[in-house]
Amino acid sequence: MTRLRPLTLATSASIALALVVAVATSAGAGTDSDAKHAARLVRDARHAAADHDFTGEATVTWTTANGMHRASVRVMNGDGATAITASDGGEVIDEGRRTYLHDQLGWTGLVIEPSARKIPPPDHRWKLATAGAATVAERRGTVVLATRSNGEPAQRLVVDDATGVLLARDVLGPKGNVQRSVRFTSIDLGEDSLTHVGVRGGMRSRKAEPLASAPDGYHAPSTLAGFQLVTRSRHPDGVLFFYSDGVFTASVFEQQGDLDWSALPSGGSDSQLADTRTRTYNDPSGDVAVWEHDGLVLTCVTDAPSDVFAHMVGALASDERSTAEQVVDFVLGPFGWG
Amino acid sequence: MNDVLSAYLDGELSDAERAEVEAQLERSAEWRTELAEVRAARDALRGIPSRDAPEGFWDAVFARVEADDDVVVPITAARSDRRRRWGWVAASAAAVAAVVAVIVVPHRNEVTPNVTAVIAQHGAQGSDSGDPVTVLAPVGPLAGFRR
Repeated sequence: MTRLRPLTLATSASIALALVVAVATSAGAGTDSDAKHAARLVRDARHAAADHDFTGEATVTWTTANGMHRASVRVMNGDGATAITASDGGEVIDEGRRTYLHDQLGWTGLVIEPSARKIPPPDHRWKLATAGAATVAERRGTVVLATRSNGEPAQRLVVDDATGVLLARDVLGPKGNVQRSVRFTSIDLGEDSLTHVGVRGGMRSRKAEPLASAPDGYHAPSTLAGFQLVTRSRHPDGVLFFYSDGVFTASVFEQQGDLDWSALPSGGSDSQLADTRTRTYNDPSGDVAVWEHDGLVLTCVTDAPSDVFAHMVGALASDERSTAEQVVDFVLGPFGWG
Repeated sequence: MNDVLSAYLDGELSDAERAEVEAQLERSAEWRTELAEVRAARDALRGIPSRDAPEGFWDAVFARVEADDDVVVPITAARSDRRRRWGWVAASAAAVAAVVAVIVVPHRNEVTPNVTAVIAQHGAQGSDSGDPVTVLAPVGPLAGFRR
């Protein structure tokens, strides 16, 4: 048997250590590269609808206390506009900053909000990664996961490989259950699908007044439970604050006065959030909470999962923010995000 | 038209009248525009901010009323004409103070947020910063859902 001399042992150990470091570095580089790739897919998906005309059918699902609900919508996208028609008569036409809604009162031009330009990047808060391939509406796409700090995914996207168009979006609860989903069941992309979306000519829309800061008597921190304040705007009956965390968005509408609980829409449920009485709703578009605090009536809407929403409402209702958030608010407050 | 639409928004029409108005709204862009303006005017009225009374105002009013009560109460008892006159003056002053308080000092208003409108507005704003299809697709069923 040949005995290795000490120098040989040290050299071997050094080589082994170098190999381990090289492999680990390579794996880390791969992870970073994948995260950047995933973030780029999400960013590009935001603009893909503007670059590709298509028509299709999509299924919208959402969960309430009564179980899972489902609705089908027809989507037409072309000429820089998107038309969405639900089988039960609801209709939305979006022309970028102008959006029109058809409900029981006929067509309404929604208030035009200030442009939300300075939204945080998709990986501002969430860890992004690709997770293999998936087929949606007979099209091959890449799965992108946005993951919580505990490793549980909060959102699963499927991005079309050929065009970058978003084919499916699942919002996932803390236990991995799908809380809300939009998924194409059929889609026709390309030259043959060129379509003209009817624009609501003659409809008038009011513009919300952009605000550089929250008016006296209103309250909106620059950062809130991981969300960044993007725009502030004054409406005839209140002030709207729009937040984004790069993946999810939230609107907080504030009105001065006392909440008339008896006049709120039916279908909600009462709950306590941060020791505050809250009326909550689970709608196809997102979760909603209404409550009053310090002379304000607050209505918060978000497409985020329920645990993220509860954290946000709790922070607003209790007005308790971390020291870090207060410092960021103090520093960014004068400059504003909107 | 304005009165009819105002009654329509207030839910004061009969089923038949309501159906007639909705049919007219479907047919006429002019009616829809008028409805939007009536609704905007109502929203604007509801949006007028209210303010609390200045600090100490109500204490002063109550103190004044209590002081007046001291004078008013003896009206039911045997008293001199002079005291009776003072009682009427005090009662009148208290009534005027109460009316002025109601008219001049706005009370806090009760607010009922339009939850559906806030949701739709959120979708519209979100479509400006995210994928418009997946952001707005859920708003379509919501609009029909409220029928």
